[in-house]
Amino acid sequence: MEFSVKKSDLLKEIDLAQGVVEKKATIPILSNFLLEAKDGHIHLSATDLELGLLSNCPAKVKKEGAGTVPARRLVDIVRSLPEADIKVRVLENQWIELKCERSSFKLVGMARDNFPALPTVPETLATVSGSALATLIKRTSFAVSSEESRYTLNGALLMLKPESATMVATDGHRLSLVEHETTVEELNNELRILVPRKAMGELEKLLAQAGDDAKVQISKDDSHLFFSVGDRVLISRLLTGQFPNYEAVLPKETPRVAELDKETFTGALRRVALLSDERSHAIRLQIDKGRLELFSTSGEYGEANEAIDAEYVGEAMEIGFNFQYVLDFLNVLSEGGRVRLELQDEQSAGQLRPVGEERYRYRYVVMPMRI
Amino acid sequence: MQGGATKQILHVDMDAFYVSVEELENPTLRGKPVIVGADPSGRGVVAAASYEARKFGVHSAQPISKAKQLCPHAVFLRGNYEKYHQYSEIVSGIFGQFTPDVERVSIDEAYLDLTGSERLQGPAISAADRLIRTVKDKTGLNCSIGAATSHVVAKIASDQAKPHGLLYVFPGCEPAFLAPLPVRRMPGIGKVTELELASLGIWTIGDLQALSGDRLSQRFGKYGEWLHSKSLGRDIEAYRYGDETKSISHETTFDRDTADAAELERTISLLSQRVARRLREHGFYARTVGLKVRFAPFRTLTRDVTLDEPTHLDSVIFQNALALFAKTFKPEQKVRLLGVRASNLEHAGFQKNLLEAPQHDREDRLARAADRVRDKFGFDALRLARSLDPASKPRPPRKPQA
Repeated sequence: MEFSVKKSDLLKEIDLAQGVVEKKATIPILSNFLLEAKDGHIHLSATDLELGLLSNCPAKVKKEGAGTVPARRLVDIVRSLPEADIKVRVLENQWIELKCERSSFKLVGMARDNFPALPTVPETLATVSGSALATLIKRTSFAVSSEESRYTLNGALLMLKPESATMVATDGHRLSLVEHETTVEELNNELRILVPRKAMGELEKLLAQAGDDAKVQISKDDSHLFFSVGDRVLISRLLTGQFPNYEAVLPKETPRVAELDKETFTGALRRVALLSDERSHAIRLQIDKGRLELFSTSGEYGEANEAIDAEYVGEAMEIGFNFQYVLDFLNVLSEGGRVRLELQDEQSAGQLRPVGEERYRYRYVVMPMRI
Repeated sequence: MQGGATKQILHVDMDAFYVSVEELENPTLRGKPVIVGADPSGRGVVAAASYEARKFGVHSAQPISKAKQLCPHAVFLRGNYEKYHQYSEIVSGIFGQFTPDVERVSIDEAYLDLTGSERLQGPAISAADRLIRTVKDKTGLNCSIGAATSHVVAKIASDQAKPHGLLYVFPGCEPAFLAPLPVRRMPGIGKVTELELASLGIWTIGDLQALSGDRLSQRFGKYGEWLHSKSLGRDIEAYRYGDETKSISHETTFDRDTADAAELERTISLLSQRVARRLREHGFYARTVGLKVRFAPFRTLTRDVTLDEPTHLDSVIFQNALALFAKTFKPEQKVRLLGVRASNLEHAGFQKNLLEAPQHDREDRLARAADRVRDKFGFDALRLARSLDPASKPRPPRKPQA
């Protein structure tokens, strides 16, 4: 294998791919990228056996072939090089040589046959708008459970219909649900898939690179999910298992509704949270006609409170929440605007929603704390 | 609360408290053997004895008839508990002048945490000395103090200092101070454990120190870890034995040792219901569920599991206790005793679970309804079927309590 490639072209691809490379070097070949030179392109593969990424970039191929190269080292080296052409070539015993202007590197590669074969992309089942999918992911990924024992909560449920895309995630304490009216192409029926947390993160990066007009083609086989964005393909192991019946926990009646200015609420919450209990993160919300007051108490450091205006005409009530859960929701909304806090009673789940967002129906359900 | 700072704990124990109060009120009692307790001709016990009476072998919790035998010429008093409380309050007020962090263990005993108050109170040893003098000046009562870097060492030190003494254990000298003492001196080691330890050739706290924590855990479970830390003079916050209510537990010893899985499960169900009921009664939620199993040859295991969401529900406690049991039970081993324990108690302030909320709310309402029935008709009026013996006939419910 021998080729030359523009530094910026190569860096863009390996930078994206390094999130997929295995961090713990338990299987040495997985800390490597597989590079294949053919048809005027470098084809790049990376995998940690959970996720895989295929991508490519244009190159001047002098001699077709393949080789593997330590991923971290390659990223560090390419990043440090000047903006110029990089010449790459495989030497004997899997050594890889890199030359750029007056610098020269020799990296220890491994036999390409050791690199696991990634599955081939099957037929597309659905095509969705990249920016819509990015918003769905941004607004749900923080609510995905990171507790490995709760296997089926380690991902978000993506439900596609010809005219809508919906994503929902929960960690058992809060639930984030976004429905978006959008045309899903090539889909006749309904498609439900569990997208693992790590895949959501990598997909978010791919979509950010791809720009607003990008389309995502989704497909799956018996054990993998495939997301194709332009020339790049993210492959994820399929999460098996039943996602909980989330519809059963969506609040049905929320007679008490307060409307709040989002930025004012966020600011007050951040300040009052500074003296919340360090372990429980509990804050108390008191709503009464026209106002919402936030309280916190830390046994160790003291207490805080702040009152803000609220559009509220219901009965007075008090409820406790983990402030972080509320803040997680506020942080993913776009700047400005208003939010609705919809409550039933102090023991039942509360619901938060942005006001007047037409394209997305966003519901965030949080279980209160017992205070 | 200062992270990293060496703790300074005082354990203050009033000397022969009840008797001393009686002597203050009636000075003619001084120097005489005085015993406060039940009617000496009845079946009650000794509540307190003066040092003069103790010379004859009288001690508290002894049957009063035995005390009468040992020391027939003693002055027997029935005790004036209201008076004792008044004195106890005065003494508490004095503690409060030394530190806000006072943990009263009983009417005549308290821990004072002086950590971080050195600038205000001077070194712990001089503060302790001042405390003994102040108590004497203000009330006329004697007390003894153990001062150390942990609750357990302070407690043992005050015991060694009695009567009317002060013993300060220098930081770092805790293991050396404890080593020569018999294991029984350690609060939390009772007669049963003492025997069990003796069978392993462990007589002194020093013998315990010599054993690795792992070996003790193998033999005694979590209690083994506790023993190891305490033998070195360290407090374990999460697992206090013998201190005040940090847990609610029920246990039962079988009439005959049994390996009958169905019977054992029934028992765990029953114990879980009793524990859950008491949790609800006291407004507690438990984050940790524990199981205690004593096998026929007196080998005791304790196992704990920490829950995602604290609970006071019969079903949650039962499921977790049962899961712990399944891990320890071997059909060839007969069980002598089972216990279910709820610890890590929280009054409030925890995150409720969203996905389990509908189920838990239903069970919560059920449990509260069951509690109301039991308030009226007694615990056995309502039981989970899992805890009933299919071979036995149901008993008719009791009449409502007035």
